Amino acid sequence: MRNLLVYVGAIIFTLYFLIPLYILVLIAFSPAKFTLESLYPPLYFKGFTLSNLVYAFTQYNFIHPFLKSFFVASLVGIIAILLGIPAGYGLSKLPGKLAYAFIVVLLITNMVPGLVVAIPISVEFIKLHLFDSIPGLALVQELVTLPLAVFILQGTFSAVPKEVEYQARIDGASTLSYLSNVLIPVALPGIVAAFLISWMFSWDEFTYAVLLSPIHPTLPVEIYFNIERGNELAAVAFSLVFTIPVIVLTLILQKYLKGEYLAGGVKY
Amino acid sequence: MIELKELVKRYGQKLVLNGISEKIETGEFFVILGPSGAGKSTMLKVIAGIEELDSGSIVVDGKDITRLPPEKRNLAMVFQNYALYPNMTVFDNIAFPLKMKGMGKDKIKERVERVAKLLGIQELLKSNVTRISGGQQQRVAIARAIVREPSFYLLDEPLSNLDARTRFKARGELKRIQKELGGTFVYVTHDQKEAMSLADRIAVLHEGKFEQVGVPMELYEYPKTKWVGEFIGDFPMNFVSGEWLGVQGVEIGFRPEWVKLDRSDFKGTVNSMESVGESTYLFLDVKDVKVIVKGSGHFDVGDEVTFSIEKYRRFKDGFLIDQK
Ligand SMILES: Nc1ncnc2c1ncn2[C@@H]1O[C@H](COP(=O)(O)OP(=O)(O)OP(=O)(O)O)[C@@H](O)[C@H]1O
Ligand SMILES: [Mg+2]
Repeated sequence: MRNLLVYVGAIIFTLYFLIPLYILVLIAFSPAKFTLESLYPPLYFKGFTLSNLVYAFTQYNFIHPFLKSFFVASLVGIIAILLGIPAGYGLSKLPGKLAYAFIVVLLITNMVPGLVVAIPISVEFIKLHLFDSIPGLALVQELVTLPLAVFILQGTFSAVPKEVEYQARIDGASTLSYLSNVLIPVALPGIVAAFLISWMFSWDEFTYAVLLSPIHPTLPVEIYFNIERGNELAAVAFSLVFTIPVIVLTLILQKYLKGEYLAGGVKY
Repeated sequence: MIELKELVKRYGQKLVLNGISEKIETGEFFVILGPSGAGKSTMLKVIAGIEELDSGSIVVDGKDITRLPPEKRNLAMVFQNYALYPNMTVFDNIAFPLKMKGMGKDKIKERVERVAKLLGIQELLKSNVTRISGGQQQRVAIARAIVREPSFYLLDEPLSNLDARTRFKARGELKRIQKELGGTFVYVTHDQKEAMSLADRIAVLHEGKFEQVGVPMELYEYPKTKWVGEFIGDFPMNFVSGEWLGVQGVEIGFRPEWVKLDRSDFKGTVNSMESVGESTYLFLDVKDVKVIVKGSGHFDVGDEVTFSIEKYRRFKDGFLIDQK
């Protein structure tokens, strides 16, 4: 009986998340007359067509927003790792309480609403020629992702026993060769997780993107523009493509975040 | 030769090493023995350069290494938890110190295979270090320490994670390896039995100082202080008033093995007992004092036992006054 309730709950929960996705697929692959153009659209497939997608990808500008999103997200992931590794390593060597205080302060910046910081930043960015650029947007999104990446990496690095570092030093390794030969390989699952989470955040980030990169928009902003202009079919088609990397990355992340990867490497 | 000169180390207010001086000879198996928390690991960390000294200096073969970072000290160390690199195979673990030296691939392979053979772990070279047993991990850690030729070796209770039987075997092997290498071993343990069986010399660490340094037999026969007498030996040394034997103003210390039973000098009641092999150690109440004596045969709690003290040492204010 209890089990049954759990299953019913799980099914309702799953439907709650899957129905929007289903409707997205429905609109994308049905002729418009059954969906957008009908007054009472059916919730099942009445017909199947690829012409919506063909039309959207040929008539509207898809590839530039897609590439912009892709490059921005990748840059966000890379910067998060490049800065997050030294920061996380440093924090992992501080006494626990002190490191914790630092991280709390870092994460508090996340709570400031994006709108509040985006406007002054955009003023500065125009002067610095970073407005509407890939590095500019990536740097601003780093405000949110970098603290998160530092937090994840600090935790992963702290799980490596300090004797391992001592041993490496005694065996003749400098700090740099300890990092590259031991710490980074051992902490790889955490590093991958930090990269993917940063990447995914940037991929569907909207507030900074729409304010700081409106001329050459990223994919979510382009989708929004298309909805605004009434090009729903293009919006739907783009959304479909937009979702694919998110699903793939979530599946990969799940594997890493299960913990067995995190723990498996360092067993003491 | 390693010369330790007036080593002082504090953690906050806590004085862990309080002016330790000693010379460790080349090729010596030097054991630092002390109870848990005495500062044994701290001592090794200070020698390795992982922890900084508050004062004092360390000189190895005439060269002052006090201010050198660990990677420049040319020493090898085995940690209590082995500190293997979890991302590497057994081979790569052992090869790591050589790689850091910039040695060629072929030479590394040859060296690693040689030590692996010495320790009987050739079959494991390709395994991941997280997938082998504790005893095997311990061998890998030792192999990694002896693969290069450091000026000396530091070992922090390397056998304490092993079960009793494996530990006994590993002890013999360790001693054999040390003799084969002719290396200087500084070995830390809290197990006095292990210390007695391995050491050329033992240093007893107590309250931040080496309370006594000597060959195992000397520590057993002539403990410099009452504390050492109680700490060394399978059972602590007995201490009773000198008046028992008609000597004034001193305490006498005698080991459970230094008595003869069935002599009428002293009489005690068996309170409890413990068998070790063929002998039985009896915990006696003699007058108001507790005394441990070694006997053989069968006893019961409550039995009356008579004994005489055949050999003893005299102590005054906790210090030995007899000379060898
Ligand atoms: N990093 C540190 N910070 C503060 N105190 C420490 C630190 N490391 C050790 N101590 C303290 O110093 C003392 C000696 O510690 P140490 O680890 O050297 O003992 P030990 O003799 O190796 O003990 P064991 O046999 O349990 O390993 C202990 O009281 C310990 O609490
Ligand atoms: Mg210790």
